[in-house]
Amino acid sequence: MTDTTNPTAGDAVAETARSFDPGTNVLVVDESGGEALPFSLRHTAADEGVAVVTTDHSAPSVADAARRSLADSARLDIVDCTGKSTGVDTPVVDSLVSAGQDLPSVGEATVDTVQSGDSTALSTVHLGSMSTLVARSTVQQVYKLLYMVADQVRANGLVAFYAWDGPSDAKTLRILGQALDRRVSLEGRGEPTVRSSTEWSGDDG
Amino acid sequence: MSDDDPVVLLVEDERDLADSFGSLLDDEYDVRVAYDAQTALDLYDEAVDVALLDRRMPGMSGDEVLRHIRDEPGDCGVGMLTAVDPAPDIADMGFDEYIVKPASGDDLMSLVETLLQRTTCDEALRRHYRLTNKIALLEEYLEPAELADSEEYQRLNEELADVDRTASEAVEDLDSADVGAILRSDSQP
Repeated sequence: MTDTTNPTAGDAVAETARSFDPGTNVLVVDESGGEALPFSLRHTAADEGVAVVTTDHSAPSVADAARRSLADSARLDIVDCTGKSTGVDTPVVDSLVSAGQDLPSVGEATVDTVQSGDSTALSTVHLGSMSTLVARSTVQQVYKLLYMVADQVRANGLVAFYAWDGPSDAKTLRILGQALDRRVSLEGRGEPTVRSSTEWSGDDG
Repeated sequence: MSDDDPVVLLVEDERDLADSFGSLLDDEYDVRVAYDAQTALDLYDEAVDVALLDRRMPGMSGDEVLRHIRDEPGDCGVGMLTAVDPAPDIADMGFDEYIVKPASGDDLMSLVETLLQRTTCDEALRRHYRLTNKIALLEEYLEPAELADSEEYQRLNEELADVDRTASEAVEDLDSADVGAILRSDSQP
């Protein structure tokens, strides 16, 4: 792995595009909320395809945020698991599908998206948010979802970001993080800290 | 109840609780209820799909029943349904799931469904689930300092790393329907 750079929040996309190797699963902890998706997009090359699976942010807001970062030619797929069906301008989004809000439905939709990566030229998947999924089910259930999705991400050579929005507890993050490869904490305005799974497993209490 | 219903062996020394749980399960499963360990062993055979075991019972314990079951032919799903908090000794136990009582009827039904699904899993994936459950239980019930000193906890994590290397192939073969089915049938109380 060569993904040890710590880009600052204001870095341009091109300067951070190779921060994470293909096949890497990254837990993005964003206690203040709202910064995880922009972080994911900053770590995607502007002309590469992105799929966003959203459980809380509306499809139009995701599309708006994504299009500010991505090149016009870049593919953008949105899987809307918010339960609030809203339309998005067709030219803005290449694919918009709705899926159930429950964990199994989110899991099915995410795996479908990851496995379609080859045919749709995706390089990055953003899944948000883990905190919402835990609230809807259990930590163990979400861990199992992450375990299965993360393996598919590795097999398909994508980079996946899993957002944790809002307050967190160390034990939950440690359990979820065991299924993933990297963890980034978006704290303050300084450089995010990128850590491997083994680095964080022993220090979160 | 039909002949095709899965067979559930319920072992619980508190008779009222055993009868109550047995009645709940009886609509969907072929239930065998034992109030003590020896009766449980008499009722156990290869037809049993799921065994729910109390740990602390007069005479032979549920832990011993579990060892006997694992020594016998068959590969039923085993859930510990007990008032005993998990401790490092669970590392060497052959259960699939562990629920600390009190448990609701919904907890019970979910547990049985989970265990039935688990018996259909690839062996590597099933071992993965067993190990992650034990690790999660210890992390929930032990203090960080106890975890750091626990050889069993470290060993479980090492075993999990080994198993994951094998299980990875099985997971990669899953499609979205498989993932959805696992998560639906695997819901925890």
